[in-house]
Amino acid sequence: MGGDPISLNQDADLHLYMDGEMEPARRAAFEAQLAANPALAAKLHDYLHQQEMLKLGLDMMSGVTLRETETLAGRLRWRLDMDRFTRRVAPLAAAMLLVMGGWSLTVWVQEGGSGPQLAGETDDVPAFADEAVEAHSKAVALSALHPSPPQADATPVPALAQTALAQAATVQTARVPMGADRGMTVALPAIDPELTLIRAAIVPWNHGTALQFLYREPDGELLTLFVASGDPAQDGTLHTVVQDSLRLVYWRAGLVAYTVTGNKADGDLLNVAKRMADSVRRS
Amino acid sequence: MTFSLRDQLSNQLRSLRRYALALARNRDDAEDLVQETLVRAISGSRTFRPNGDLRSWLFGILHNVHVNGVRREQVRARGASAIEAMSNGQVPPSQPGHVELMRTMEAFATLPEEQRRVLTLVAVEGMSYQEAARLLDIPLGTLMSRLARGREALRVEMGHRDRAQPSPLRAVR
Repeated sequence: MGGDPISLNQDADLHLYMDGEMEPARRAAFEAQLAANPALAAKLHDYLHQQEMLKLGLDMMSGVTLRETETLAGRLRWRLDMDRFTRRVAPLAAAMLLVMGGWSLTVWVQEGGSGPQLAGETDDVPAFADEAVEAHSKAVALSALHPSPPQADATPVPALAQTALAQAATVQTARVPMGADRGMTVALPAIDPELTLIRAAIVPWNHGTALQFLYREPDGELLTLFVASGDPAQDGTLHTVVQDSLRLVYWRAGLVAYTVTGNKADGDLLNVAKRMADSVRRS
Repeated sequence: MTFSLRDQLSNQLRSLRRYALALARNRDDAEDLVQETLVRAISGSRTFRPNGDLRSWLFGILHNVHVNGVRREQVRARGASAIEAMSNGQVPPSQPGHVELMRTMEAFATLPEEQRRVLTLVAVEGMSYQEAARLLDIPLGTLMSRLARGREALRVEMGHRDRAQPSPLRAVR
């Protein structure tokens, strides 16, 4: 009961020690202080005992649960389970929608066969290519979040879709329905042997619907092919543009515009795009 | 991580009730607090991330429910005297150390609310300082000083009570 031999530092350390917040390297040194200082050890003992009493007391008093509380807890459990289930199943459901509901690539072909100009097209980057950049960013982010096996996300669309993405993955053309009996054939590039198709999706954009394919290159780089309907032009020339830190290569073939988007530093992108363009031309 | 959601929620329900008791010092208010927390959690279940920390999420809701004032005023009115009734009613006399337990709980009820909060979260629920400080939205230093003051106040209070109240074990037959 004489002078308190516990220093302020020791007092602060006492709490860190008993709450497991003290660095492991300092624990041994503090334990030595505890062994050498009975007052400090007694205080630790008091605190630990007090902690036990508190736990015991609160635990006892909270032991009885009202039925209403249990019911609410059950409802919460159900909701969390459902949310978890929904999150898991949502991508699958989207794929199912695609398969069962079919799809339509809305093409801007005016009566008489001539397509409209794409609005918002600038001198530098056409609107479809601009859209392709955004779609690429989204697809890459999605892929990082859900590194899942190949799947398809879709917006609900008319029939014949079940074959379309399958066709896209295996053959070079896909019949794209438009309304009741209008339609167009979209030529798609054969899959480059060096690329792995990891996602195929129908994506909406400002001018209708487009197809998007996400591929992985052997070095792990992701690239996307964005296929959209455009104004009629037989411009097979490959245009390379860098936008938003991404490199994109686009070309047109008839009513269809193709854009390959990838990392700015991806030196292979132009070669991949060339092979795709050649493949489309041959089909 | 291997615990099912059912197990996790059952464990957290008990923890929530303990924390609610420490805040409300009254069993009915504590139960109300827990129920309101669960109601809010149900309506906001989508805000819980699948890999998130269920405990932090639920404690955060309970804390907000308590702090929003309406309930606080009701609880304050019923105050510290209630915990004595509560501990008298809830701690079985046959429990070993029953008297000491009751005294501890009574002393705990006299602590300021901010000290009770910190003591419950860290000493009873075993939260890290970081987690508790984040939950209470206070700096780490503040949390540490409240914890130290709370523990010391409780120790001193218990010492006084020990001296003031002779143990029933010494009672003459």
